[in-house]
Amino acid sequence: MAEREINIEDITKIEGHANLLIKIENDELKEVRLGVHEGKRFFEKFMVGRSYKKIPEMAGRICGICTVAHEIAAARAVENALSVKVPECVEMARNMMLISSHIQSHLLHLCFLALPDYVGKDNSLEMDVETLKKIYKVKEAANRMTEIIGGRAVHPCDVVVGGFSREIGREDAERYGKLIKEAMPILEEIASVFLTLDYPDIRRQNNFASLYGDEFSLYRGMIKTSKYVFEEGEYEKYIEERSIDYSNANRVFVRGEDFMVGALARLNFNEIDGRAKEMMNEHGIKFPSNNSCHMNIAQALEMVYFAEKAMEIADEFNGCSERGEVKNENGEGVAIIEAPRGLLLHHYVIEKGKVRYANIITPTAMNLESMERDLRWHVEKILNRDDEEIKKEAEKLIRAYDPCISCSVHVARVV
Amino acid sequence: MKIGVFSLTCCEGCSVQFLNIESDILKLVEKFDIKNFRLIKERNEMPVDIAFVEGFPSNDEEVEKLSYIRENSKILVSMGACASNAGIPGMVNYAGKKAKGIKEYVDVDYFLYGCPFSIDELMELISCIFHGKEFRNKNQNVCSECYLRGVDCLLDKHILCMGGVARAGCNAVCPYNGHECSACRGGYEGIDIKSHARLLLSKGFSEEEIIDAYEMYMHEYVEELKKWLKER
Repeated sequence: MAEREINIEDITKIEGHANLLIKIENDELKEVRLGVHEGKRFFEKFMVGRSYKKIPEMAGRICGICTVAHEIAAARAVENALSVKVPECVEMARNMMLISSHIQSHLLHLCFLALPDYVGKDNSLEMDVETLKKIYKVKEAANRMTEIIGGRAVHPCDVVVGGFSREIGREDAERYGKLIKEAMPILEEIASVFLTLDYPDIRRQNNFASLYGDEFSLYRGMIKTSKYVFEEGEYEKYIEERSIDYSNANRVFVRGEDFMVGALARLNFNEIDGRAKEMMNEHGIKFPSNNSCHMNIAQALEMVYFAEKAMEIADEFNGCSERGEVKNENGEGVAIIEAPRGLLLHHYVIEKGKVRYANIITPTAMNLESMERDLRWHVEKILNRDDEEIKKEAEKLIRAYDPCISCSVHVARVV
Repeated sequence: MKIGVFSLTCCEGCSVQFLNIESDILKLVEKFDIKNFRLIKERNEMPVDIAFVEGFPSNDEEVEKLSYIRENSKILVSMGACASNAGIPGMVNYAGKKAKGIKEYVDVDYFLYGCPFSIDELMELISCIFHGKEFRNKNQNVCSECYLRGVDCLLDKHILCMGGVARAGCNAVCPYNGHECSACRGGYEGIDIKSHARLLLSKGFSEEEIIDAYEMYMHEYVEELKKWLKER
């Protein structure tokens, strides 16, 4: 057999524009290239010279799905830079927003991007109306929850350095809590679907990274990888970015090795409890897992776990009108939080109130190298199948990573 | 009617917003056929009757893609701030070229302004197209919506708000939540930036702060603003 070339020019059902090229020669895998052809957006360039006050608002525009994560990471990095003490109630409200946006993002990925591959449909809108209504009911609830705290679901408009631009009331938390409570049964039902699907078996990656600490937090913690544990401010000693010629997005390594971030990494390093733990046991699911496609299972369990946590926070929340005060306008700060797709890093240097340096590393940028190596590993094993089947398998794997290509290129720096 | 949702360089928040029509999308699916939506569909077809385009072209391929969409659609709708005037990324140059909205490349039939666009306006537009009625963008400023919602003026709290020159239609969502309007919907027709700048100066904002505020979403007015500030 001579040469075969499998080319996917614009991978569908992922966020953003990426392409895949697979070259096979005489039954031997020659090349796997996961390229990103979406245009660069230079956020780090145009943030320079701007007032720190505008950074959370601008950062949100990096991504339309994980907009909450970008806003909060940016706010927290600026607060670290300017030594702003943030009231506890602000952190509670930010956690509520992060959780509802994670649920929204996981639902979008699981139900609209990943599920069609496993039920043999072109797209989810082809599913029966009753199922769709259920999905929309919880998706709508998650969006309303983000809106209650953030003022708007896509690009929330009240996240500012130090806290929120308005008072978040006790009654807001009550409305938020009521929504999640009502959505819970359907959320469990949807999650259980993803615990029983038959996933490709891709066990190459053994290097994961996520936040880690006494409590399973999306907001703050130590950074744990399979070999190291470090603080967010020390990232430059561990995390390194490299540019490659066939992609507009950089590749990211931890001390020279590729790694995987996201829900699977989080569950590999953190304990869950409550209903999510019960569901895990009922289905005989165990973590850690090094099957990259188990990202879908991890996201499904996280939705249930964090929904319960959100109810607890909403119960305890007594309103918040305070804001952390900015006392000086110079400094350098880093924040690493958990975006839906994994670790998200924002780093700013601020002088006289203006940004002098900005560095943002997104979860998808961190995952791209691992994704490409997983593809090589998996395709090598199925070379005897026809092109269409290889393509399908490759797409399933890529979608399991839930890549957000827009994020990965939108922060590429000008070289 | 066949619908397509297309994405150029942007955050894809407007595509997400399109999916956030939530349960109404099911009603939409009954009347319209979503033929092209790469974010959620594998098999995508052309031509379409209505093309919703988010983002701006940041390279030659995207310029070509945009022309192809125009040639293969009866109605083209510019969706969101990036399609309208390149949005926040419009602040910098791309490969030596200024980032521009899609109207600089192709004819646009309708505009849905905002970052992201408003779902109510999208539903209104779709309904107008379906029933053959005229769709009109709001042509007053965001202040008018603050007034209707009883929002206290942020300028009085020394927050630099762009509501005075920004196009309404968002129901003043940012000022209502205590955050300044950044004019993500651009300027309304016939705005008077000199009066606005004069007002901001009288409220104690510096020239630099005013220029910064215009640079976010109102880049096309920055030259005129700078010139006036210099000559005044």
